[in-house]
Amino acid sequence: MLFKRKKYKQEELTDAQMILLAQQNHKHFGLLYEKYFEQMFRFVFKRLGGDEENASDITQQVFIKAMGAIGNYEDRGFPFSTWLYRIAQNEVNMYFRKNSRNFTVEVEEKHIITLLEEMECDEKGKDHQEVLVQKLNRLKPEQLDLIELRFFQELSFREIADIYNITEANAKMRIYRIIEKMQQEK
Amino acid sequence: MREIKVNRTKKKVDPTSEQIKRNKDFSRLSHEYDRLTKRPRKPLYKDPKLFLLIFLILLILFLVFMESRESEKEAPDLIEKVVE
Repeated sequence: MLFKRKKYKQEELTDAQMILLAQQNHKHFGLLYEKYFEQMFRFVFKRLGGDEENASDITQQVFIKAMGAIGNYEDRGFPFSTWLYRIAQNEVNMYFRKNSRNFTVEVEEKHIITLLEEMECDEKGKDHQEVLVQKLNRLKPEQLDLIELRFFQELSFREIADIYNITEANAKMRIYRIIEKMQQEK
Repeated sequence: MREIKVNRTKKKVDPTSEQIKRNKDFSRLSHEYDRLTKRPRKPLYKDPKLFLLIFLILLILFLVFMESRESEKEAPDLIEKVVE
């Protein structure tokens, strides 16, 4: 048929091609959605400590915002996921700000142990873990964000740098300053 | 306020494939996007610019019509004068 809409397959296209198609017609945004939904949902889900309902709503919001802004997206050499992570990070922070009630984020024990190792702490028992958790809870929200992204979400320094639009060295420096601060704290 | 807590159960803080599948729905997203971005239709009388534009077009058409009627009335006199 002459006017039949062409069906595109995600695996046959590069990110740049998918972005171009989505910029031409927002119905093609589905290709990017299919590719990145899981990654974004996992990110939001973990940051909310496993709250499925809110993670679903926030992920939906992330993709709606991305869909609305795809026309202005410019490829600056960063992966497309970084752009989505940035939107997701903002949405999650906005959610935390709106919900003034205490929100518990559950972190796996192995991540706390990794952080203790990074702090060059020889003792990794439950008591030490609890002390570290107390220190984490005393951090400023923006400092906790960086620790969460690096040690609990296991993002690379490069990815964190891209999210915050800073250099990789700067991201590394900020994170190690927070670790240093926690090491000095009694 | 966010409070960090250690999850000491063996259960991972990761969504299951079923949870991912359950929440992945592009048609819902697309529908929601259309709902949010579609402009509500404004009635004509509530849009002063469009109302004024249509009024001006109608006024010009009316004036042109009146003018053509006037010239039609004058036309037979002119013909008579030319014949004489």
